[in-house]
Amino acid sequence: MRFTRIDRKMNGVWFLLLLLVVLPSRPAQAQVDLTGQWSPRVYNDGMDIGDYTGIPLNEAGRLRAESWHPEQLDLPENLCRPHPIDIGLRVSVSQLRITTELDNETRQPVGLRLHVAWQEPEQVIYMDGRPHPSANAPHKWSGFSTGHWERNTLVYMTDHLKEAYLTRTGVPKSDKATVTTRVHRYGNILTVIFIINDPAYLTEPYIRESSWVYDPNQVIPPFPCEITPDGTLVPAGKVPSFLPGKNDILSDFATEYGIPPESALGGAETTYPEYIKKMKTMKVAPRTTTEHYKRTQ
Amino acid sequence: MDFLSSKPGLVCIASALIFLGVLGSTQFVYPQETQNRGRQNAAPNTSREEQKSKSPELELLPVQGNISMLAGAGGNITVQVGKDGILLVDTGVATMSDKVLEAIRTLSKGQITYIINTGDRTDHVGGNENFAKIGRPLAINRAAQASVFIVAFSTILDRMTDPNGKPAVSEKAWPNDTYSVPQKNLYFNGEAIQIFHQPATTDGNSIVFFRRSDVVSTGDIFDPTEYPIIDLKNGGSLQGVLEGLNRLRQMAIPADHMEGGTMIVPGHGRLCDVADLDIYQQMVTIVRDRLRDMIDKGMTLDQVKAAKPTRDYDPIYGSNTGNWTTDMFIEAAYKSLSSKPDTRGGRRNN
Repeated sequence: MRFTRIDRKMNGVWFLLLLLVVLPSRPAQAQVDLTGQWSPRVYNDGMDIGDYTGIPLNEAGRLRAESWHPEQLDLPENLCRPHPIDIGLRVSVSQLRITTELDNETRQPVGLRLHVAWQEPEQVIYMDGRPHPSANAPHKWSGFSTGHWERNTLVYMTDHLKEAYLTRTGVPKSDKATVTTRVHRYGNILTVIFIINDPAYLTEPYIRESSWVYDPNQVIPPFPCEITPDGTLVPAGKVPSFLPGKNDILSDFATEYGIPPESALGGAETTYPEYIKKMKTMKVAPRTTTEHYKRTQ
Repeated sequence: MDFLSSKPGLVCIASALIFLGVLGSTQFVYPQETQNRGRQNAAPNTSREEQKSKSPELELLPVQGNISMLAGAGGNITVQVGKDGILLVDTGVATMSDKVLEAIRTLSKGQITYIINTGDRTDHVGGNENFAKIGRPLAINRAAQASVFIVAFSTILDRMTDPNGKPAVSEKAWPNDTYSVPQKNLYFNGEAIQIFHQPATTDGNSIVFFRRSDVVSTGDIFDPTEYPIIDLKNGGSLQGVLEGLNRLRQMAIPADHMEGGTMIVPGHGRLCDVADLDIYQQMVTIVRDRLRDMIDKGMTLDQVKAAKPTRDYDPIYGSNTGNWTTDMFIEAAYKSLSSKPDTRGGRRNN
């Protein structure tokens, strides 16, 4: 009888101890499965010329943005140019596919690959601990990214980015910028938070987020793009731009939306909730409808 | 009663397993977080890169085909290796020649046969003499006194042999295979190489195009680390730089979605592709248009400098110190555009 009791007790103890050993040692490679097809929630910000609200732009960045001319989109070199992935996931309203990235030789997983439909920017997030390339290595539209898990959130840092834009209307992001991205899955909802640091054009990190819905039946079509010959849409050698102080459509955004003109210029102050109180004390021009044909598509 | 069933035995085994369990929970459950904490505590990557860029160490980057880029020896050096030997585009500063040679030897033990100089600045031609001493021209390999072929546009030789030039350049470093026509062709290591004369920062710039590898060496015509260095005394002009950049854009073809394709070894800075070149060409064009507008309004050089026409590009290309400051660029560009009213290319801006 005694032996039987001991055996029963032992079985229980053995089982509990086995759990203690086995459960903790489960693979911790991927806390959450992010792979699959994801459909975007629609965003339409960054569309208006002169809208720099909520962007901690410095003076240099503001002048650069004010000089941007919509006809620059017609330059041959810009026709097939993708957004960098941090913009592509936010402003191009495009489908997203996440797959596991395999090492070419060993076929072992080394990270994740993000593919966005519009202009097909791709970003590989390496999770295998490899270092970032040297400063002399080429920069790419989607940069070079290494990531890790913080509990159930994928966090990755991107550098080696080409110069690009923060909006579709010419707010610049320099090739010195780095982006920290945090991806979290809540069931069938995916949230992506971007924290953009740009020592050239931002005074503070610029933070924004976007959301996606799991859509396993989504099909992403190919996005072929052919560059037109130089001089077809814009005379060869010309780069359309507004001379400093000559942008005649800059104030349209503030007028149309009825906000103080200086608020539209952005800056770190405009990124904080307290600024809303200040805005209420500022002078606003009478709200009128402006010519939106100059808004970029 | 065996050991496993005995009370002390149970206590021993239980203790051992609990120890293993706790160890497992720390080692296996949170290995990524442990690593992550380590990474978070590590120096940011940008700092690493800054440290690296400040280091005098050379870096050899494979480009494509049989072309590599050597960075960190002054101006960038393009290295082509193959069965015929070694061809260099520019030679960096003299003090780095030993390290440059050491890096090249990891690619090939062959003879240095050709040096092509894209300009006459010391950070591009400084190593000529050192490599001339060890190189041999292909066809006369047995001749003890024979020197490597040093190819350059003829005005580069004029500058380097100028008795008033300072510092004096040793005869061994002089170009000995000059050209004075628009284009010179070579065939080396199974590859057609085109050398184009393109007056830009001086009157003697050369562009080197490796046709099979699909790589272009631009020299200082394209330098994404700073505003173009315009040497007015030696025939340089802002319009010349722009024409050079536009020519490069015609030669280079991007791959899918404006990334990769023809690769570009710039005068200084990182390895580039066509999109990087486009961004730089757009900057130079926009700055030229602003300066022209100011000149047309009759603004003096001091007024133009005070207006800071490049202030939106200064965080990327500008400098208040060093050999080529923003002020020096504006002055050279202003004088360049003011002195040649009839050489304006392209159309006026808005």
